[in-house]
Amino acid sequence: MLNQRTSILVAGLLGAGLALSLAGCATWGPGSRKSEKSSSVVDFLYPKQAEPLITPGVPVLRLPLRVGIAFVPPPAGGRGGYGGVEFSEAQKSDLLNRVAAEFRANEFIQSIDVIPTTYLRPGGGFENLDQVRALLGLDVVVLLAFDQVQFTDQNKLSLAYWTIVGAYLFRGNKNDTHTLLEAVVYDIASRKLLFRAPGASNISASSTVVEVRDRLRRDSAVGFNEANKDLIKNLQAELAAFKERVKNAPPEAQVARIEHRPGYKGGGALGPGFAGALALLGLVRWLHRRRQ
Amino acid sequence: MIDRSRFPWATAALAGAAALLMLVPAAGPALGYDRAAIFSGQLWRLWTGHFLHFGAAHFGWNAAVFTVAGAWVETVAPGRARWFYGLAPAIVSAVLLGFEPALALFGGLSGLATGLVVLLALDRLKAGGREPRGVWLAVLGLVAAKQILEWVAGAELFVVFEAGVRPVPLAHLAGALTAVGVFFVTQRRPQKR
Repeated sequence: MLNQRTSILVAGLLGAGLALSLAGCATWGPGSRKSEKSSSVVDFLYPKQAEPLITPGVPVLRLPLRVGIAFVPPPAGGRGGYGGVEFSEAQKSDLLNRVAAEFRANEFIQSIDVIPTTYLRPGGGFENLDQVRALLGLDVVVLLAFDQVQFTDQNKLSLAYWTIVGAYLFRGNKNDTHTLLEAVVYDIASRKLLFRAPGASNISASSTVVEVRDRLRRDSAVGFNEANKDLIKNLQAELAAFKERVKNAPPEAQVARIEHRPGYKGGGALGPGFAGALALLGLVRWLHRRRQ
Repeated sequence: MIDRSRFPWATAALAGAAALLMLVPAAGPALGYDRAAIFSGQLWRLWTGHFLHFGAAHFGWNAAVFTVAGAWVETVAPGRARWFYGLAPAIVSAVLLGFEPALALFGGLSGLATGLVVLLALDRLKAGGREPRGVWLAVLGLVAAKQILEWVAGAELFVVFEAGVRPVPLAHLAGALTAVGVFFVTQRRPQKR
């Protein structure tokens, strides 16, 4: 009896192992593939640390700020992209310029410079950022990372992308293009994360085998564009929330200290609110005297 | 028919000068509040700097409050108004020179306009009669609330009115305190009405 049970158990285990191995072939075989290209802020800033370090202390932001923006380089020999459509430097530059253009008009920003790709080394960390800071005279850096996965068959793969604050998961289906952009804004001097924002896009498509590569290339570009739009929207919301936190934080829990750079231009401004309130009081006075 | 003896000539002339400087921006470099130029001896900038603005919106609201409050004060208490016009620009500029060392360039009538509002409210409270005290106390409260909001809540930190220009609440405080000083100094002498 025992032998019979043991035989069934062994047979069951063998069967399960065979099924798993076949499933593995199906997942990674030529008929069902995924291509991935990515970079990671965590890999760039903390290349030798399992857990990102949280730096204590209050950053001092001297307005107007000089801001640098760049895509972090993929880790050396790592997930730089394989088997799929490349994410070209021209595309990256275009996305960075669009993000910069959205924020350049803020009066507390003096300049936003796109940092050339060659200035950042894979895993360069804050030492690399200090060099860039000295070279370009930056106060704050916006680091962008990306992850794009394109599935070419039905499968149950999921991607876990490790962002600066945790894992981001999505599930893959046939010819899906999943794109995730992540922007982190750091005060370089204090190594303090000021705020972060994601941008995501999910494009579902199907195509014939013949045109699949063209289709993936198109979807890849559209995916980055859509994720970039989402990122800009989220960055604006996070910036607004950050400004509120700076204003409203109690002194013992300051988010950042604001100072003004010597040589700034100032003006006395009253504005429509104050003028309107005065006009209202003038009207009250007029009505009061008229009644008398 | 305009009563020429009561027409607010000084206010009209100063508001007109500010409007003219908006139309002729080339005059800015010679007349603006420029910390370095003032320290090099160009003292007229202490007075003229307030009449330059950094844009149409900046000028519009400042000039509106300045003109209405200034004309009113000058009509009801011309002596007070002219004392204020003579002293306040230099006092406000001197305060900025002393307490805002990082401020390189300054422009705007708001310090003077805030002072005129305070001077008007104090004058009307003193005049009594048919003047509603509550309204004038509310005006003073409004000025105080704006000042507190700018200083304590840090509302000036990210205020947008022109790119690259930040509001200077100290100018408003200096204008208001100058008005209080002018009010008490001129109280001791009979007002020309």
